[in-house]
Amino acid sequence: MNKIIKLNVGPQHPSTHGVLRLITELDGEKILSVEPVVGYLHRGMEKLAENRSYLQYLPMVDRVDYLGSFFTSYAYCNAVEKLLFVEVPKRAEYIRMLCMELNRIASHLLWLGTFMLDLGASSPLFYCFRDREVILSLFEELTGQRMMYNYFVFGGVRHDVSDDWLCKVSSFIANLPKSISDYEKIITENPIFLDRTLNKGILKPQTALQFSVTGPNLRASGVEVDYRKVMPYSVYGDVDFVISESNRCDSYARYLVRIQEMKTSLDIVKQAVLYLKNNSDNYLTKINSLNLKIPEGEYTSYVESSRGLLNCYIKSDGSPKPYRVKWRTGSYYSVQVLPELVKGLNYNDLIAVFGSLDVIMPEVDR
Amino acid sequence: MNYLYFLYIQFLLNHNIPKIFGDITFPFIPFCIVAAMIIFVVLVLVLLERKVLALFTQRKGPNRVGPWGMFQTIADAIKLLCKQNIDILGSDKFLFNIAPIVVFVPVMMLWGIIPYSSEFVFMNFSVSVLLYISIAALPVIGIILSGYASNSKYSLIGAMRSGAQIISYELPIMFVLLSIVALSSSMNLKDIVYSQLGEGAILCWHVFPCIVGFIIIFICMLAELNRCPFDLPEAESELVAGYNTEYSGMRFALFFLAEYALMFIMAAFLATLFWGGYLPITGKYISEIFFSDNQFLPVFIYFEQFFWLMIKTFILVFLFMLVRATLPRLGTQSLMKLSWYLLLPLSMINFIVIIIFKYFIEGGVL
Amino acid sequence: MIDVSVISEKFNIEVNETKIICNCDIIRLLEFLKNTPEYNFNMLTSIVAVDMISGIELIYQLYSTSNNIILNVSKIIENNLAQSVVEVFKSAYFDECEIYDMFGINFEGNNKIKRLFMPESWIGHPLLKSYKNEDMRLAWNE
Repeated sequence: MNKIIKLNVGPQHPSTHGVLRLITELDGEKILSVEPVVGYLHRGMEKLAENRSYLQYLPMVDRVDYLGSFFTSYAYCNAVEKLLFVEVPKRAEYIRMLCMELNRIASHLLWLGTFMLDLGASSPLFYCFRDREVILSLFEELTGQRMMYNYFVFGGVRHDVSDDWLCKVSSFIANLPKSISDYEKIITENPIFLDRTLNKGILKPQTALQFSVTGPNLRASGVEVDYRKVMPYSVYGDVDFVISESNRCDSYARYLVRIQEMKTSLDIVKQAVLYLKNNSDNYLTKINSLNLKIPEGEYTSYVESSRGLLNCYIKSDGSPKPYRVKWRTGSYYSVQVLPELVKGLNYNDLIAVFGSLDVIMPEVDR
Repeated sequence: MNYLYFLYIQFLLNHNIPKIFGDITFPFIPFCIVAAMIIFVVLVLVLLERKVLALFTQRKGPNRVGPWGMFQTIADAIKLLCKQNIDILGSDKFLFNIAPIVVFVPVMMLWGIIPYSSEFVFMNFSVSVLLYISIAALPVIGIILSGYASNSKYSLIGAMRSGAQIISYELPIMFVLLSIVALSSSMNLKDIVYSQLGEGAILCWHVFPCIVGFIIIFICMLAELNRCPFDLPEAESELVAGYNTEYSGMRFALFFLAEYALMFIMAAFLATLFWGGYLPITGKYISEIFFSDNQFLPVFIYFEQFFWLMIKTFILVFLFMLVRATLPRLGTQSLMKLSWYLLLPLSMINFIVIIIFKYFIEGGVL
Repeated sequence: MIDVSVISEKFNIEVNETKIICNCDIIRLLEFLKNTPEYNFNMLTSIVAVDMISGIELIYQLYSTSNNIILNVSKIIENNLAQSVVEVFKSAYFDECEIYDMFGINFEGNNKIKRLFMPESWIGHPLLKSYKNEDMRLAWNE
C-alpha cells in the first residue's frame, strides 16, 4: 500500500493568504515535498503597462501589492522621474518617506495578525487590525482612499500634508509603542509560540542568497542588507535609523525582525514629521504628466518594501507608452524558497512557516 | 429522580391510569428534559462564546438579531436546519450519515450522568465516574468515522489527529480521576459531591488537596474537547475544518451541537469533581434562610443546587473561552510530548501524593 | 558602475552606460562574477526579459551583499533558446519559467520548465510585442 498522501492545499484554502496552491506530499504528517503553484491572481500588470501611457498606468501600480501600495507607487514614480531627469522637492520626498514608513507599519501589523492566526491565535488579529485601522484612517484623510492611494505623482505628491494631519500622525506614533509592547508581552515569550517558531523553517544565509530572498526574511538570516541603508533612495540618507537583524534564521527571528522594524519605522516617521513641521517647501515639481516626453533609456528603481526588495524596471523608447515594465517583488522569491524551509517538518508547520515569510499573492502573480 | 417518579406515578394514579404504564413511559421524561436542556444550553453557549471572544478582542459580537444579538444563534440554527445536506462523491454514504449521530449520542448520554442537584440525577450508578469517562471516549469513534467516510484528505488527517490526541490525553485524566475516587472513597458522583460537604464550605472541595490534578485535568479536557490550544483536528489554518470539512446542514449542526454540549458537560463534570458540584459556594443554602418554614423547602433547595452547579460550570466554560482567546495552537509533536512526558508522569505522582495524603488524613483507613 | 576591466579581459563583453552586454557563455560569466572575491555577486535579484523585436534581451540584475554593488548583465537571445542559470543561482527558476511563459524562450538546462502564470493550455506568449490574443475559446476575445 502506498503510504504517501498527496495533498493539494489551495488555491481555495482559509490560510494560504490569497490564492496560492501548494502540492504537498505527506508521509503521515511529515512533509516530503512541497511544490508551489502560482498564477491564480495574475492580472497581466506588465502587459497592461505596454498599452497605456505613463500616467494611465500610475493608478494601476498600487494594485501590484495592495498592502504596500506606497512602495510600488514610489518605485514606479522614482523610475519615471529618473528617466525624465526630474528633481523631486525635498518636502515631497519627506512626505513620501513618511507615507512609506507608515505603510510598512500597517503591512507588518497585518502580517503579525495573520501570522498569529496561522498559528491558531485569533485575538492578535483584531488587536493588530485596531492599530492598522488608525493608519488607514490617516491615509484616508490624506489621500481619500484606504488602500489604493494613487497619491504619489511624477515629480512629487498630489497635495501637501496639513499640520493638523501631522499632529494626528504624531499622536499615533506616540501611542503605537505601547501597543507593540502589548503584543510582545502576549507573544514573544509565549511557550506555545516559541515551540511553534523556534528552529522551525530555518533559512540559512547561503540558501537565502541563492534564492534571492530579501527584506526582513533575509535580515532574519543574519545578512544585513536593507536597501534603505545600503542604497539610500528618497531621503533615507538624511534620517538616521538602525537596521534590525537577527542571526537565528528561523520563524522566530523573522518575527523579531519585523517587530523591530516597526519600531525603526516609528523612528523614521518621527524624524519625518519633525522635518515637515519645521520646513515648508514646494511639494511638487510641475511637469506635464499628460504628455510625458520620456527620453529613450532604461532605469531600475530599488525600493525596500515591507516584503523585500522591490524593483521597477522601465524601458522607454521615447513613445508615450512604456516599452517594458518589469516588477521584481519580494514575495515572488519567498514563495520559491518555501519548499526548502518546510522539508521534513510536520504538516502542522507548513502554514506556520509560510506565514512567517509574509507572502501576499498579488505581489507574486502581478 | 425518585421525587419526580413519585410525583408522576401519583399523577397517573389520580387519573386512573395503571402504574405499569407509568413505569414504561417514565424514562421519556428525563430524556426530554436532557434534550431540551442541551438545545437551550448550546444556544446560550454559542452566543456567550461569541460575545466573550468579542469582548476580549474589542469587538461587539453579534448585535443585529434581537436585543443584544440574542436571537443570533437561533437564526443560525434555523439556517443550518434549512441548508442542503450535500452528499460527497465517493463517500461511504452509510458511515458518512451515521458519524454525526455516533458523535452526538454519547454526549447526550453524558448529560444524564451528572447530578444537577441531590434529587436531579437521571442515571445514578454506583460507578458513574467510570461510566462517564468511558462514554466520554466514544465520540472519537464518530470523529474517526466521519474522517474516514468523507473521502477527503483534510478530514482524514483531522480524524487521525483527533484519535491520537484523545487516546494520549485519556490516560492523565484516568489517573486524576483515580485520585479523586481515592479522596472521596466512592465512584458515585453524588457521593463524591457529598464527600466535599463539610464545615469549611469551599475549603472542603477536592480542588485544594488535588490542585495539580485539577490543572492537569483542565488541560486534558481542553484536549478532549478539541478546543484551542489543542484544536489541531479542526485547525482551520491547516485542515480547513478538520473532520467536519465535508459536512453541511443538519449533519454539521449535529457536530456543532455535540461539540458545545460536550464542552458544557465536561465543565459540569469538572465542577462536580473538584468544585463541590451542586453544593453552595456560601456554605449554607440561601433558601434555608428565606424559606425555612415553607413546606416546599426541599424543592427550593433542589433548584438552588442546580443554580450553584450552573454558576460553577459557567465559570469553567468562561475559563475555556479565556484560554481560547489567549493561546496559539500547539504543534503536533509538542502536543504528544506534553501528554506523555509531562502530564502523565505528573498525574501519576499526583495520584501517589493524594493516596499518602488520604492515608494520613483518615488515620490509616483507605 | 564598477571597474569592468578585469571582466573584459577574460570575457567577450561590451560595456554600456547601464549594463554590460555579454557575447559569451552566460553561465561562465555569472559564475566568474559570483566567485571572484573582488565582485562577489552572490544574489541574482531578477532576470528582466525585453522583447527587442530582433531578439529577446535578457538582463541579469546582480547584487553583491558584501560589496554593495549592482551590475546588470545583458544577453541577447535570437533563436528562442537560452542557457539556464539555475545551476548558478537557484532563484532563477521562477524567473526562467516566467520568461518561458511570457516570451516563449526555452532554457537549456532547466528541466522542470513550465508555464508559471498562464494556464498550460494558453496559446501564445503574451509579453511578446507580436502577441495577439486570437484564442477563440476566450469569450472576451478582442
